[in-house]
Amino acid sequence: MTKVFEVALGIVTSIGGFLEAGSLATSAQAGAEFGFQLLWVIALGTLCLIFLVEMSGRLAAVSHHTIASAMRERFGFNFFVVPLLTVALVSLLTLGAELGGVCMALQLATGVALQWWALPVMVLVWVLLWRGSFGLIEKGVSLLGLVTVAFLVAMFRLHAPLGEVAAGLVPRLPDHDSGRYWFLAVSILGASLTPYLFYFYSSGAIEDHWDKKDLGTNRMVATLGMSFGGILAAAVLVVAAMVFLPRGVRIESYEQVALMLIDAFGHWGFWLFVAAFGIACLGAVLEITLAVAYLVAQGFGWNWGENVKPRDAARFAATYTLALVVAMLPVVAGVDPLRLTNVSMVLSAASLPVATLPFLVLMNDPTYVKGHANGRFGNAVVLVVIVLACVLAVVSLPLELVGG
Amino acid sequence: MVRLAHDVLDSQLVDRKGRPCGKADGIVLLVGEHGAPRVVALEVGALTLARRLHPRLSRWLARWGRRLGAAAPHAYRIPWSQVRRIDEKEITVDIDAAATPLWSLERWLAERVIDRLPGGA
Repeated sequence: MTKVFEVALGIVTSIGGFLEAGSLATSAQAGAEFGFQLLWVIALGTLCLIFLVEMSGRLAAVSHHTIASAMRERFGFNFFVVPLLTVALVSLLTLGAELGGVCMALQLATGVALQWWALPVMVLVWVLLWRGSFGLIEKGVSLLGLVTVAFLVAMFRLHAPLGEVAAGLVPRLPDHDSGRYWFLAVSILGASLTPYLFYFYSSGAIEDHWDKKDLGTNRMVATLGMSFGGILAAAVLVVAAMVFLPRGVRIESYEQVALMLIDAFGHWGFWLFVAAFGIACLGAVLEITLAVAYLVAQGFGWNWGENVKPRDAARFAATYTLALVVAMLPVVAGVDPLRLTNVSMVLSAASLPVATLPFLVLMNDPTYVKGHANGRFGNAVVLVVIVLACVLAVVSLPLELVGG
Repeated sequence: MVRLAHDVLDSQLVDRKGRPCGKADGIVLLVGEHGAPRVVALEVGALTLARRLHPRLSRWLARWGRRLGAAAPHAYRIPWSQVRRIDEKEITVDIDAAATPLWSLERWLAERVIDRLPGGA
């Protein structure tokens, strides 16, 4: 019975934790501009994420290493420094985008400009990390995050044409604006596969003392949790396609995205969106802040953990404090949060080979995963998707920045 | 048999109380006139890491360390004789990390910063 409960809780956690500024914004943009055409990219990204998350949990359960510590040990410091810096920088940028999302939700709710919210939000997040435990943060925020199921409900209230939606799952070439199509495709891949996600997951598995007994739970949680999460991102795309495409709205700001639930829920739709968006971004902020501190602490062998008092992991606590302050700078400086989100999602995609290829090597090394090495299918899926994401990112980011 | 680069270098170190105390950033070998080279110590510290990346980076870091008043501008060495156990997960060394310079930043942050904030201890 406890096993069933554990799996259920794990799945709920993943659903609540899946949707954040990145996947919400990119899915909404994709739906508004290309209808259901880009749904297949969400499916592909989610499939790849299932494999990566399952691998991350398996590595931790079998080897008792997090991705960061195994990577440094296996490849040496001189190599490790490259993924360390890459993942840390991309994560800080993503953290900035998510912090911007929380502040944006508050601006939508109150009318007070988002820069003013930067400091209070930072303090709130810091207090939650300083006083909270890993379980509280993981489960509490994720349960609240279930409000994002509103997008799925909206999809049915708008009577989405399920046949056409299913047709969107078949990959196809764009019929117009192919540059923009591929830019959004890579943004979606970057949003689904942000490296902090699977780095964070292995740390969580160590915090929760997983071992080989948990491999079955891990597989179930990764598969079902990430699938449901992917379905939510798909629902955002479908709702955006039905609300914005017929009106010819191209998403240029979060103020526009905020109106997407009004057709389904009326006046309350706006407040539902603000709550879902704010909570989803807050959850991501907590996870990414911890992920950065985990990465650095594990890379240098410090004592770390969200379940110990800050005094007993002082450098770890100092690192997440610093990460919050640094990531907040673009928000305070007035960088548009949607623009920040788009750029960080594409950079996420560009960083995938550096963040995942060495991880893939670990997952095929019997020194670490013993008899639990990757199958050929898992290796192939991850390899194909990350190479695709990186190539698209490298090609489309300059085009987007120039073409703006 | 211990494979130094494979089993030791860049592995997690834990002290006798099981506390993580850095990684094996470097391995010190003594090459005498007679006989084979002998492992004498593990080295832990930013300077060792910097030297592995580039010797100039290490010198630059040492200079800035001295300017900022850091105690000893060299890495901390744990004698090989203190190594108790090497397994797949970590290397156990017979030291009390909190009493060594390995803990100086940790101690400084805990006493000077965290103790002065509410709810840290």
